[in-house]
Amino acid sequence: MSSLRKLGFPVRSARVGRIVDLELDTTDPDQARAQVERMCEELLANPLIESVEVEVGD
Amino acid sequence: MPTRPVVAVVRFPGSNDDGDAALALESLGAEPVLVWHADHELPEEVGAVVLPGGFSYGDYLRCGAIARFAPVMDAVRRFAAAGGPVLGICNGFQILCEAGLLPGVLRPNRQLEFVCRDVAVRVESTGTVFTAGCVAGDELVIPVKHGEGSWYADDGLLRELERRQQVVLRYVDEVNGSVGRVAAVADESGTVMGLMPHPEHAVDPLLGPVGGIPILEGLVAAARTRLASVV
Repeated sequence: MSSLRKLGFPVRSARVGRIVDLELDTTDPDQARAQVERMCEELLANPLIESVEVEVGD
Repeated sequence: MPTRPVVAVVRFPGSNDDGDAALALESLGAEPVLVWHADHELPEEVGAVVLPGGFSYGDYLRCGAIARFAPVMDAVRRFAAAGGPVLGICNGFQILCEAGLLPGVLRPNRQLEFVCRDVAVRVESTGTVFTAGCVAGDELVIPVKHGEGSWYADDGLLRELERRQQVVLRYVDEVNGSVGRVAAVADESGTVMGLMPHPEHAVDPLLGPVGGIPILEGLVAAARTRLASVV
């Protein structure tokens, strides 16, 4: 953020997150969501410090 | 001359303080044995385990998040559950937190800068095997070198840990934004501990401060005791 400000951009806050794109074998959206939620619990996110949103696409 | 207890030093891809840990342990009377992360078993007659500092698996995802699935970690878990002493240093601390063997998690330093210098830590609890030889209030000078050493737990958990004497070391001055200036936490039994400072870099007066000696001596003594009781 301080670098953006030094460049003259009027930034009030900045955060960096992480997006994980996953391709799964299943075509069932509910199953896909359930699988990804389990992945988040077991590896992808640490619930002490991270929150998660799961989106299922085509 | 007492026998040298075997202390396993786990080497992950990206570990870089394994050599120093082994040298320090040797100088303090242990027989260090390097153990590869893909091994499924610890050496027979192992008295203690050290998870050293470094950048296991390149710190991808989160520090320590992938290392916790290494095959050797199942053996470390079994060893810890059986009361074996386990010390996680820096990245080793991060791994123990991610593995659920220690409470909390390490976040990026609050100042968002890597910190590399000698710091003073105060002994808060002597109820662990690593600080059994210290006196509460002792100050130890030990170097830190980390970018993600800001330990975090919510208020409730922090208070609970303080009540149970699981907060073992605190930074005397602000270092990285850790809640409660926590530098080391232990499990309930006091046989598993993680800390961000590097005791293995602070054992030789020729090279600087020697605040790491009492902590590693505690580990070696616990390893010796454990082997004596198991055999």
